[in-house]
Amino acid sequence: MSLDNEFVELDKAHHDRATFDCGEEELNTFIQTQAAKHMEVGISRTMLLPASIPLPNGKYSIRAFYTIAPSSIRRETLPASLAKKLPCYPVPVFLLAQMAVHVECQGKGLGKVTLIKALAYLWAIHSHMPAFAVIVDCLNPSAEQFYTKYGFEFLCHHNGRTRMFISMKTVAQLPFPTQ
Amino acid sequence: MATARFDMRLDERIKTKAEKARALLGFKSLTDYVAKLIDDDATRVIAEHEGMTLTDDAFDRFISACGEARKPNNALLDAAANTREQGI
Repeated sequence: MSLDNEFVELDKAHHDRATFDCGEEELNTFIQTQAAKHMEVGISRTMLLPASIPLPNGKYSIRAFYTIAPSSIRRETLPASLAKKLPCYPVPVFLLAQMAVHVECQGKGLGKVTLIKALAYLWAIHSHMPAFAVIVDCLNPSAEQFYTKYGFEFLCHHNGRTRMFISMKTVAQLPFPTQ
Repeated sequence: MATARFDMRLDERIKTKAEKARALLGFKSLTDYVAKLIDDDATRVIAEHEGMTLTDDAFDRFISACGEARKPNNALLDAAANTREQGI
């Protein structure tokens, strides 16, 4: 399956959401029924890598996608002495809310490419909307293994899932291609 | 307050039940009851979505880790180089 060479914003008129299958029901449902809606109401933005050749219906199948959203972190209690040290509060962060690769493209390193593209995109946003870190919620142990491998650290448990993060100061040191 | 219309179809069984709950809670109409429910729930859902709260310990660890400027590990550096080579 040949890929396009650029991640683009989800456009339901051009991208075939129905045929997306990454093997995880939750992520399939997200891209098929929620991602476009979330973009319309300003919750998150979904970027995807389309196939380079259209399907018979004229749309392009989705090979991989990621979804990002702004978020923030609070401390359970905030003593005044600590509040003074924080440049902004609640602490702004980026959420890498979803990330998935089509089953037909799995095992070819597209996951790490998608991760790098997501980090590069967030790094570009960081220049006008700074954040402390990128947060991910791991859907399952293999997702947790994936993010651990690339240097994400444990943050907390949330709704039975492991939440991890990587600092923007670490992301800053990656050699990103010019956008 | 300016208002907007929102019509909804409802299972008859749910409507009967809701009317009862509405009366018990003292709302003047089913509309008032539903409007209050939506308002409360939407506030909660949006607040949950927009922010997270950490225990004091986890928050302090997070802030200090963010300040450290740790180097990307080799796997992440390789992934970045690899992405560049593929021209994506």
